[in-house]
Amino acid sequence: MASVQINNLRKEYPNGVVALHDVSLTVEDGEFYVLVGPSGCGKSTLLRMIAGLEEITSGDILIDGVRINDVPPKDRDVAMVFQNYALYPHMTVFGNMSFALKHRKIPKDEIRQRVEAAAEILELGEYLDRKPRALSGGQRQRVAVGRAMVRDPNVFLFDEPLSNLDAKLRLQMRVEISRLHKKLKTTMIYVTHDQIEAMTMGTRIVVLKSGIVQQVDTPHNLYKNPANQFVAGFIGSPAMNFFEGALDDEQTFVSPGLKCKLPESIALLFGDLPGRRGVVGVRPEHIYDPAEAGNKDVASEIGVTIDVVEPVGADAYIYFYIGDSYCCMRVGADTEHRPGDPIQVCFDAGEIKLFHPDTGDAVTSA
Amino acid sequence: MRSKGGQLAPYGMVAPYLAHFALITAFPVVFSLVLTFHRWNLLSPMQWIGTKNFSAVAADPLFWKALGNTLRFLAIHIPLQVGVALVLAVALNQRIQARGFFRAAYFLPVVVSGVVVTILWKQLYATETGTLNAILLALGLDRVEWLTDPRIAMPAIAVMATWKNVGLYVILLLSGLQSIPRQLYEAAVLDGAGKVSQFFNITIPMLNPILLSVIILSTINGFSLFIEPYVMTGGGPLNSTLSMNLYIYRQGFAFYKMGYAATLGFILAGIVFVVVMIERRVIEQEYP
Repeated sequence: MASVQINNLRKEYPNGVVALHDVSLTVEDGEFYVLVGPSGCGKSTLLRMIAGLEEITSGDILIDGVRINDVPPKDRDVAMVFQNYALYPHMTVFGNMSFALKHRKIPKDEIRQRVEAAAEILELGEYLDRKPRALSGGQRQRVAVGRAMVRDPNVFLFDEPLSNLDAKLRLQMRVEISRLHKKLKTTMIYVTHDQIEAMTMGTRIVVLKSGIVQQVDTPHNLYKNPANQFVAGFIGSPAMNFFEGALDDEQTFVSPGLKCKLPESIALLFGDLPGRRGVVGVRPEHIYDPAEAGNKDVASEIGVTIDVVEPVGADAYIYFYIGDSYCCMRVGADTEHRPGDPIQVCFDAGEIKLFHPDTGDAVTSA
Repeated sequence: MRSKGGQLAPYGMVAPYLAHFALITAFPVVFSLVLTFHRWNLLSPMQWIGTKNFSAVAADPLFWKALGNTLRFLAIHIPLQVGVALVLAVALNQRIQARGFFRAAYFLPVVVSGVVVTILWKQLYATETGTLNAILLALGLDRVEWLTDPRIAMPAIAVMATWKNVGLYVILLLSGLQSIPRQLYEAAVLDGAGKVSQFFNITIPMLNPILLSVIILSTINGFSLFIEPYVMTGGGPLNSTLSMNLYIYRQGFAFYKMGYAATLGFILAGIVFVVVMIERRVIEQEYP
């Protein structure tokens, strides 16, 4: 087990493209740390730099306080699970899992013992003599995890390990990897573009955009208190609804197609914004049919026409336009609303977020 | 119901190919098979002699000499060809300057006429006036009788044939190298494998299908050795470069023993088939 410290890490390619801008992070010992962000945000580059597969332009990486910038990958004591498994196709499962141990000159008996122990945990015991091509996607992914496990590394690195699996297997492997982390208590750094994976697995999550850290926080805090409009829109599915507009003299937020009386706590925050302009954000589960809002403190009612109703099992999503903004509202699966129906909606006043109209930063009272 | 013309149309469409196949492939094979049981000198009528051609081959010392020469050529040519091609392919797969130029340069001899290349190498190998011996002399060494010493002539031809053909195999191996996923090497680096271990544990096994093709193609091309000894040595000295194909050609077009030449051709085809099957079995056992 080990902590990983990243200080002002920068990656610039010879063609001038900067993949990472002075990233600084600290991964605590035994933590399940998730790097999440859209494609091309630099999360895999960061992981590969920790592994030693990518050159560092500037900055430092420390494992357990030791600078490893110039340490060869094999001596960093990190194990990596790749997106496409990267199993050696001509070797058996046993051959794949024992390959690293053979190169570390570990006695044969111990190699067998370690591989069999890992295979038992991952339920691969009966497949040790098979080649990867004779395994299912989930089994291959478990072999890739097993190959990392047998090395008993200081740090596990996962590079989008579940993205090649179907939805059902992905869910199953997600649970298995989380369970494995609880069992091994090893530091794990996990890269994904899937915010559900990030939210369900990570003890802490880093949100990256264009090589810049947007926010580092627990899954709950990222969801409840996003640092900026990007994080608010990226974390949560369906995404948060945004309305850009300005506050008039009567604490009413005016945006194209929307006039909404805001609670005083939010309205006060507009005072610091240029021209009392701002971006209001509301999550789909915080938009209600006024009749179903119960005792909740709601902002003013808005009349809309339903565009699409999307049942997703336990819930249904209702889509409609408010002005130019295409909005989503989460309702119960038994909704009787149909496309074309005119309905009234209202926002949960306590859950309305406000963002700076130019920088996108969250505006809060604290 | 389809019209009569409509029914005949498919036959009309395949007819050109069938005619081509019958004339260019099927007829020569069947005719030469018939020839193996005949004596024929192109002028007189064919004479049925049963299996006498086959028994004559078994007792023909020059056949065994030519077969031995061809196998000796293959024993030098195939490892040299595959080894050099592999080294060049790996080198050209690196990020080196002028990579495109080198790739084209190594492929150039493949597209140059075999006769032209052979004449060029004949000049290089010439004992008195050749470039190679001029270099040896400049280094203070003795001249080598590249094409007139029976022990050296066949290896010299094998080196030349390798130079001529290696570009094709480099391209094949290069395409194989480029299709090996980069992540396998990255996983191996993290697993602690050095460059040598990566080469033997990843590159070679992953190239196996291409290597098999390269070895089989080299074998088939090697058994077809003809232009080089025909132009450079005429099969000499002391028949040391007499290849199977050159011997077949002589029997057919120098001595007009068409039946005997056809018999040698069929025996050679059988030998090629057996050798290729053995190679395939060995390689597939080594790297299944």
